[in-house]
Amino acid sequence: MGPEGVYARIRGGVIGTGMPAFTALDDATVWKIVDYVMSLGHEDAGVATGDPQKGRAIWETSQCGMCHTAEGPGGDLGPDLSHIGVQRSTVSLTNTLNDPGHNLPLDAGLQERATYTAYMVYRAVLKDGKVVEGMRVNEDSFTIQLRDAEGRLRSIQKFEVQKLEPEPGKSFMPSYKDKLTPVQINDLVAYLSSLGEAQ
Amino acid sequence: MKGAKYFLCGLAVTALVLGSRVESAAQNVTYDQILHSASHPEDWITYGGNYAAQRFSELKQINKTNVDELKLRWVYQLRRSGIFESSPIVVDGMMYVTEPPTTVTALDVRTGRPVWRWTADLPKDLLTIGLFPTNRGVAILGDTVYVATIDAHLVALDAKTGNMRWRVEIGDNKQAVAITQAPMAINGKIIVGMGGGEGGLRGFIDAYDAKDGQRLWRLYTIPTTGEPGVETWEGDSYKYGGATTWNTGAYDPELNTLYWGTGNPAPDWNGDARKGDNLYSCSLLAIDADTGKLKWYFQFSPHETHDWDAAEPPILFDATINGKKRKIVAQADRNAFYYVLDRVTGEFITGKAYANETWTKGLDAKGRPIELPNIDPTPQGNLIYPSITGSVNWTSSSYSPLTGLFYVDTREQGAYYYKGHPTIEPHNPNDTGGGGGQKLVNGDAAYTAVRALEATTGDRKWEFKMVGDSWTGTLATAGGLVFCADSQGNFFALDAGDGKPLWNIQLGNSVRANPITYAVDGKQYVVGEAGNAVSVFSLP
Repeated sequence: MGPEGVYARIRGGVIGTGMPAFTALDDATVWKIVDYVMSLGHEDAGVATGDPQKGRAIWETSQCGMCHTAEGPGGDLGPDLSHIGVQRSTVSLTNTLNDPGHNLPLDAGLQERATYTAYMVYRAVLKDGKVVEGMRVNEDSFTIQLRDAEGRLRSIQKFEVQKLEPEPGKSFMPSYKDKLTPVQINDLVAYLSSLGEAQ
Repeated sequence: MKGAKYFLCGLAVTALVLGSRVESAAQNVTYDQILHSASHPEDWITYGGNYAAQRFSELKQINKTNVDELKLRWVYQLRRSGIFESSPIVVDGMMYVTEPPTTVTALDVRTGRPVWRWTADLPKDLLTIGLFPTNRGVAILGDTVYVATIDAHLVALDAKTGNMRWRVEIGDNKQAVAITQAPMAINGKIIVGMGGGEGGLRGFIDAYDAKDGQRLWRLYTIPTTGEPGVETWEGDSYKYGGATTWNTGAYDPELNTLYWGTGNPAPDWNGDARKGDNLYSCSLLAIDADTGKLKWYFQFSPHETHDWDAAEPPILFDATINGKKRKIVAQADRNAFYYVLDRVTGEFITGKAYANETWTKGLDAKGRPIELPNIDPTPQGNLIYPSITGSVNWTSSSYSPLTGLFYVDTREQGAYYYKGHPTIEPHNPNDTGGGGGQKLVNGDAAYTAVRALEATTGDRKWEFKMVGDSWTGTLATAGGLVFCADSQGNFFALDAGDGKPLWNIQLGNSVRANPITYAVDGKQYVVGEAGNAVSVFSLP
């Protein structure tokens, strides 16, 4: 992301995150902040090199919309990707497509757990031996709420379980490493990178 | 002396007859009543429950066998919103709770209905540098309630009506002095410290005449020119070094000694211009209650650069260690170490880390930390455990003489510390702590836990892990329970012996206040505060 991108994000905020729009700041101040941010160390975010039109077609054929929303209606098992282009770098998107379980985002939906890993899969063995597996929607010291693969919310009191443990590396989203070629992944990343603008 | 009776360990607890009063007695709390608070546990009469700050109640109607039957009795919604961190006082059928930034509300403990409310007039240009504008509670003595205001005044209120009797300035708020703590009432005196150390000032603690507010003594926590210890500050850095006294301490009436923790030195994250140990920052002070003279000090974190105040309330108890009866003051410090000191002499008895820390190789024979190299903040950020919020912060631990355990609401989290500039611009809210700062290491690896430590050794007996943060502190009871809460709104009770959860309720918002317990009309109540509400529970 270049200085213009940083400027746009300060001015407009980033939808879906806690970053507000700093509309009251004067231009000179915003550019001073941009200079400071650009002076900080950062990972190479990468540049989208694929073809977004082809990527959009791959989105359709891979049925990404079963679980995600991008443009128009879509599923809600996975995150809404309508603004993913301003929220994730191309490197991050590529990593997630190849190995989603090891590239889970931090939750941004619930303020009190905004710093915890979102979409983490947990396996709960209830006292009657039944097993519930689902993505963590929320958790506190005594309860956990999981969304199972069918999208149902499962509310569990921790005293009801024999065992409750996360399954690191696991994700309900399949890896596309062997389903798509590197070129197709680049195209899909290019499409995703085109989604959304700083608001 | 009678007053020392409640310090005894393992004291036999007889069945308590809870007071049954339909009418509130006239509020008139004698010093003797506070001295013997253990014999009338229906009241919660000081900030820490007793002078020893043990936050232990002899009440046991609510116990391990029935705590899961607790029911909500009443809720009081604050009339003033903000960060709610008040630990109420309960006496003679009245609860005195403070609302942010400085409102005192008296509630009927049977119903939660307000009886009176008093709100401080505050300046529009109020300065609160490095602290939240809140209030953590009141003190009571005679028929007077004492509150310290956020703009650094001590105010005396009629306990029955809330009418203001007098108001004296403790410090100049324009110089960044601000107060959030509950004062302490001892024999004829009101003891109160102050905060605002990130504003570039010199810390102190005061005693005031309970009758008229006349100041009786002041002890500065940083020596000045000609006094021993000033050489531990480079140049004139002692003038702006902080070391405030922003949380309520403990008192031993037999030794007539106050025990009060001090805050970090300023500027917080750059010690280059204040080379030396920076006495008496990050220390526990033992103070003669009559004269304000320093009897001894123990510095937990010399030349501190991570904002690890030592303001955590110390706890007093007696115990036999290596065959010798000792008068102990113990503190779980923000710097991740638990300390056991002789409260007569200040001698270090033992200490050990009770939470993860990456800044020392342990403590030496005198309890001084053996620091690792390269632990200071850097411009790029230096990852150190514990975080700036500390292994514990301002919330109180508790001690049960029945179990001999010290219960501490512990945080396991690190932070990247960033170095600021070496000098501080006094009283400038835009130069808090001399720049610099920290970034917390968040994520699933960060957690909090109630930990039970053997009080005489610091050895961990059990822990109860919580998901997320906790700013509550603990309450221990003779019912074999430890109460705590978390920032996700769970208020809960643990078995004091093994840490097993026995009861919990979701209160719907973050809990940021120490739980207490009291009894009225033969019924024991426990108080949990979440968001902007006081919630009170009892058995059916």
